[in-house]
Amino acid sequence: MTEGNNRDRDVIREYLLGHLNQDEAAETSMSDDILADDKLAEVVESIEDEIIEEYLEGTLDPETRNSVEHYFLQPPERQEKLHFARVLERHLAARPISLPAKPALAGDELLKEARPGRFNGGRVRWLSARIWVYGPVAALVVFGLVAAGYLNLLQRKLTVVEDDLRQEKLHSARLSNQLSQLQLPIVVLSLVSARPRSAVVREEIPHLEIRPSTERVMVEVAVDRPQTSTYEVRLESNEGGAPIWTAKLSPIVSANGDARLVFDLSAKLLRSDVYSLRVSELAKDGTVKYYDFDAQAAK
Amino acid sequence: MTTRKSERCLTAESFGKFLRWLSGDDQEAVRQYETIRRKLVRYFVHKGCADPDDLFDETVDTIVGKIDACGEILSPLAYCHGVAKNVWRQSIRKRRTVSQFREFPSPEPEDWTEHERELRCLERCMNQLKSEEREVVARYHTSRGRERIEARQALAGDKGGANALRIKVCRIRKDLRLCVIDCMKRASGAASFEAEGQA
Repeated sequence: MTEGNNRDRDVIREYLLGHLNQDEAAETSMSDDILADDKLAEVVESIEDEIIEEYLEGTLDPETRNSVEHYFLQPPERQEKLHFARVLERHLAARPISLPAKPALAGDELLKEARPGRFNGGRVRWLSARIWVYGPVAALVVFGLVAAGYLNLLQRKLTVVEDDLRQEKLHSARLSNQLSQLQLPIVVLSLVSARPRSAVVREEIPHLEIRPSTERVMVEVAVDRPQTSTYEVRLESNEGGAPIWTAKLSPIVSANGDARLVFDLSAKLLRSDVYSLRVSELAKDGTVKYYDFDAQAAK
Repeated sequence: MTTRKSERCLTAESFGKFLRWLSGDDQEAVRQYETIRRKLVRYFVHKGCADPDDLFDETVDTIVGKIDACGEILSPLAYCHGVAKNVWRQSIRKRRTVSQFREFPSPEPEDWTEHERELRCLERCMNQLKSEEREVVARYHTSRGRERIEARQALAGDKGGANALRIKVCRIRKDLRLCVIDCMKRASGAASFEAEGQA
């Protein structure tokens, strides 16, 4: 079929709408031609598409529309084509494809390009009217893009800060864990030198730090070669008064003859103050010695 | 989209006999069968038949029944076409006795999940087109009314005339439609696989 041969297209159209079915010669001739000629078959298919398109646009006359609904659209394949044409049309209307930009033209050429073959003064007004319509829309789009970019930047910064915070929390948790392992519930207090109580100078006496985690204070007191097997130990405060704690203890004597009294005190007995442990031999004429220490209860 | 379940189908025996009649060479027989099937199904579609596949099967059944008596046939396609015309005429007589009411696809999607899937497939298939083809489709479907006519006239000028443009767009739309059908099959297969996994 040659370009512009609309008579043939019209005949094919009549054939597709079933209008040739009463004319057996014309119908047979057409169907034989289509069967033998693949190019003609393709033209027929394009006319089918055309009919479907016009049906969707609602531009068919009532008689043709009736033929389309009661004859043309009977095959499932054509119903599928109709469905697809509807989906494609909607899709392209909702999401138009951006066409490739044409090379920039200047002056009159640009205006001619805006509407081929229809260049006149009216086109200038048409363009300027479009500028007022599309100008604010373009400005809104630009503003939207800038705002979206700024929000994106803020979002990225926020993400970085959140990551840092997460790292810090992890680090902190790790340190707390290490610290809790270091904060043992028992501290050791070694008392070697006894001093006369009157000579106490706070800076020179042993220091005992009591942490919140401290539960017991393990005390070691070095004693001279014992005359007796039993000592009396009293914990006294700096202010005097009744002893805070007392016990009778036997020393531990090593192979080389060194003796120590080893015992533990509850940390709850102590607060920040200077305390004395009065250690006395229970034997007759036994010596009495004072061992001072400075307790510091950390909060 | 409406689909009809085939009421009859070609038996393996008649199909084999039909192939042997087309050619003694297996490959040639299959090639000829595919051509005849495509053309006759299209013929029945052109004749506005609601069940072109069934009518094709009926045509082959009729031919198989006549093979022993029909002697040597120079053009199996032409012979098949002649039989198909008779099958079509018989179908018209049957059609007159039954209701022709047919429900057309609704303009509004019945299943929105399916519709969403279809749109995603269409988008994917559009992206698979060559940029020149995408541009043709976009320009062909641009705007409405008078503006659309003018846009198509301009496009036809670029593409070698109105008929050449129509055929080009027809080919692109056909490729797109088949691509979407294929994509939908894959997507629904994946969806049912997922549903089975969840069950």
